Amino acid sequence: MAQLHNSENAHKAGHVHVVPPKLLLTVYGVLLLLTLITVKVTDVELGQFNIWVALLVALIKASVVALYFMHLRWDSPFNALVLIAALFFVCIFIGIAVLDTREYKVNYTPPGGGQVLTVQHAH
Amino acid sequence: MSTVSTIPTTHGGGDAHGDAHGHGDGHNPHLAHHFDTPEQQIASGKLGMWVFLATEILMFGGLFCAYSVYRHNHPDVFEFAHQYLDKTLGAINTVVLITSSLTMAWGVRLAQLGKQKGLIVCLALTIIGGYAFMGIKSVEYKTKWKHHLNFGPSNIYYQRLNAEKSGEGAPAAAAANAEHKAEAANGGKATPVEGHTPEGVTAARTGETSNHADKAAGVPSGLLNPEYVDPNAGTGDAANIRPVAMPPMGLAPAVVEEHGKVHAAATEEEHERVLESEYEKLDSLDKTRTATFFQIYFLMTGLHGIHVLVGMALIFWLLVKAVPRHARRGVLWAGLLSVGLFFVYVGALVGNSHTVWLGVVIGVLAIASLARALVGPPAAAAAAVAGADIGDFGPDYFAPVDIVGLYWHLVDLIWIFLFPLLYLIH
Repeated sequence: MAQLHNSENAHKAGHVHVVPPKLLLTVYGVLLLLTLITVKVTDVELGQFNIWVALLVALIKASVVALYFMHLRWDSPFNALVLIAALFFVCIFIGIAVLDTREYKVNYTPPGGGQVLTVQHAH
Repeated sequence: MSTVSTIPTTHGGGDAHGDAHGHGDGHNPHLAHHFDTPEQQIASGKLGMWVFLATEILMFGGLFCAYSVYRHNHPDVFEFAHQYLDKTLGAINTVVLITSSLTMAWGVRLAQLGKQKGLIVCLALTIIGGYAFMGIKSVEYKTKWKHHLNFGPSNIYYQRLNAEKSGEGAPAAAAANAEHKAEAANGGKATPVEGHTPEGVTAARTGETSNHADKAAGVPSGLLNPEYVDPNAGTGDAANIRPVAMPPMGLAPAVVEEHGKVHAAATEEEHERVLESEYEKLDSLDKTRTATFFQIYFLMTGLHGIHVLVGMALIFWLLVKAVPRHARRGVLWAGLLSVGLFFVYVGALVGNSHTVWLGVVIGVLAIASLARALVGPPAAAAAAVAGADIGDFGPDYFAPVDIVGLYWHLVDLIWIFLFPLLYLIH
């Protein structure tokens, strides 16, 4: 088989999106800036909102990577749907797991004991 | 994509191929026979990769779930234990991964445009980024190991828990630093003794001489005046010179000026003392879960690290295919050489001579093979170059670059969440 795909066989596929260099560099700059922000914002006292700010910044960074580096912006929307579905199910998983975490504490003695109680068998 | 050569045999002739599938004169050797158009083929491949990436996200989801549950139940543990992680190295690694994501995305672009030389440079840079990430990660892991912040039951906080439960070494643990505590927990040799002897103080305050002085004076290292710094610290005479009088607490010279090393050791011990007092403030329930933070840390970053290694291997496979055919063997051996060098680096870092020697052996084998490939008989090289002597990727065939790129970006994506969640806890 001839491997001369670069010459005569190369029908330039117009619908295959090639990301322009300027856009790649802009995305890179945005990602670096957001990294700087997420590091700096840790030192700011926001109470319980620190974690949400950190997660929001991470979510923006992840979206930028997915949209531009991973081509989702120009891809079939079905690929984005697959990603969103995965994230959705992870959220359900974590959300429901966290919902009943308080229940775990009954397995322990209150502060001061710090030991796992063994199950009491009725004799 | 290996179906290229099977197409003619399946259809009983090269000419039949084009007509049978109705794509007329656009004979594309990279188009598998079960696809109508190259675009459909690429879209299918990408969809398959996205489904795989979804399963990857679900797999990491389990670890993120463990993280969430533990952080929800023990927020103080996370706030305390995350201080052991090096924020600066974590941030540098974030930048390294983002940069390698850029070079990968650029590589996809160049592959689509058929710019083979640029593609080779981009792929090589991406692999170097992977090595840089793993190299920095090795430094972090090594520091954890040094401080007994291990994965598993050898973790210092797990050990201490057992020691405190059984009532051994607890009083000594309050005064000693983490290293001494490990000894106390394991052997229980640091028991409280009446009266502070100068030797004991001297020995315990200077990390380098403590072992020697322990043996010489027979004084337990568990007792020490946390404010006093021996002016002879770091010198060979430290154990032999007795301070004339103990300065009152709080008025002692803070650091020894001569030796920067001693100064660094002093600030490190200061840091450990702060951490120690913070640990003491945790309630007892949280103390039982301090080791768990490190389990979660190692599981999450470890699984991510494995993904980085897999990604590097895949990109290397791309690199081999991207170079002209005559150079592929050389690239293969150069890659092996880089693996050997990395083994040497990690071995030297953690002080494991077996790993260093394994790396040396791999490296020597690689160099020998590389030399043979480079100066080997030209006839063999010419025979190997049957078709056109160019790389495989171009406008007609860039799907592998695209799809491996997706994998590499996912690795970056997961780190984007891991970094703030593990290193940047407020």
